Amino acid sequence: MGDFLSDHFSPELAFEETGVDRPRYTVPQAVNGAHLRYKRGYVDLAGFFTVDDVRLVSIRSNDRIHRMVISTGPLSMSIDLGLWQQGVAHDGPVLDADFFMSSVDINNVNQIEALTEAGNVTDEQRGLPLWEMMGLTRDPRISYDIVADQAVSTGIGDILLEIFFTRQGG
Amino acid sequence: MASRFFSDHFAGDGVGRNAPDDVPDQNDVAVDGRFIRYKRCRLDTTTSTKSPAVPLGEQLRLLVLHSSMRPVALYLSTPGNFEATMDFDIGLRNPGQRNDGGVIDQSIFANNLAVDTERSRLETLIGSGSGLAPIDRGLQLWELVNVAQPGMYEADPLINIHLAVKINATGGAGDDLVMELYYT
Repeated sequence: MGDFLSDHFSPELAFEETGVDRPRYTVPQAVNGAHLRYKRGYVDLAGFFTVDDVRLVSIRSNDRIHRMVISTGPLSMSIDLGLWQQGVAHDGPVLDADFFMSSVDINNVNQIEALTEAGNVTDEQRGLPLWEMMGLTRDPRISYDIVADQAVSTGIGDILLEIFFTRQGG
Repeated sequence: MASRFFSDHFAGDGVGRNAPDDVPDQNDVAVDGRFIRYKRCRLDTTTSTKSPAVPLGEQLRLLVLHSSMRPVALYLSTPGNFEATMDFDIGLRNPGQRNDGGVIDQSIFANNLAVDTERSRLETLIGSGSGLAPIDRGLQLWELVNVAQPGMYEADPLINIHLAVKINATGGAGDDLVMELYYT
């Protein structure tokens, strides 16, 4: 009986070692000692309405997000947080408006969880490339905008989005 | 009519804009994928020859920072062997000629923080000190100082700054402490 091997030893999950020669497997560097990267997008909204959206940061389809959190000051609103196409001037249409967060009250919060809140991404999926989190069959090799969309009423105040991620290649 | 707002990743200061800058995505790389860096220091005062081991008003200089760095998280760990009622401030001081510079903000990160019980990776960047809010995470150090003390700097002074603790209790037994800083 062989030992089970993780995806650091084989492209298959729960691979059982049989002693048979097999091609050398190279672990993706993005999950094997890559530098942890940081993004920080801040906006101070003067007046934000239900029909508005706010583009916070761009993210590549092959970036591997480990942690994504939101902090705010005092403000009265709840938001959806999702993925939009970039378009030619960050004016592209929505892909999934509440992919990350769905109608969440963000009044005066300190680093609340944003990656898994809506349930589309699970804890077990942390560190996967974004395109895999999205359920795509292959990497489209594009960038998306992460966008906050007002769920109800109006809002005035600050929003800070922080993302901790790795990227293939360093 | 619907408006599209842009954060500081697309529109300069990110304040109330409704169109991207002429040249979008040219924001500071330090907030757009810069590698996270790490500093760690340990200071053990259990073998102090002073009496008491850590006198009232004592300064503990922990780390050399730079005014342009962007702190993301600051963690304090200590086993809880300090004298009962021991508390301290965590703040910033100038380096001076011989690590003896004066105070910049004594309690920007922690104000009268009780350390007579165990603290296990207590996050002290935001929430324990004076004047910083969660939305200030990731600002440059000199900008954080300006949030707590408006007008302190007109621009980045490009100087080293010490992270320091000031003892606020009458002293007694010393203890071990570790400070960890994540920053870009």
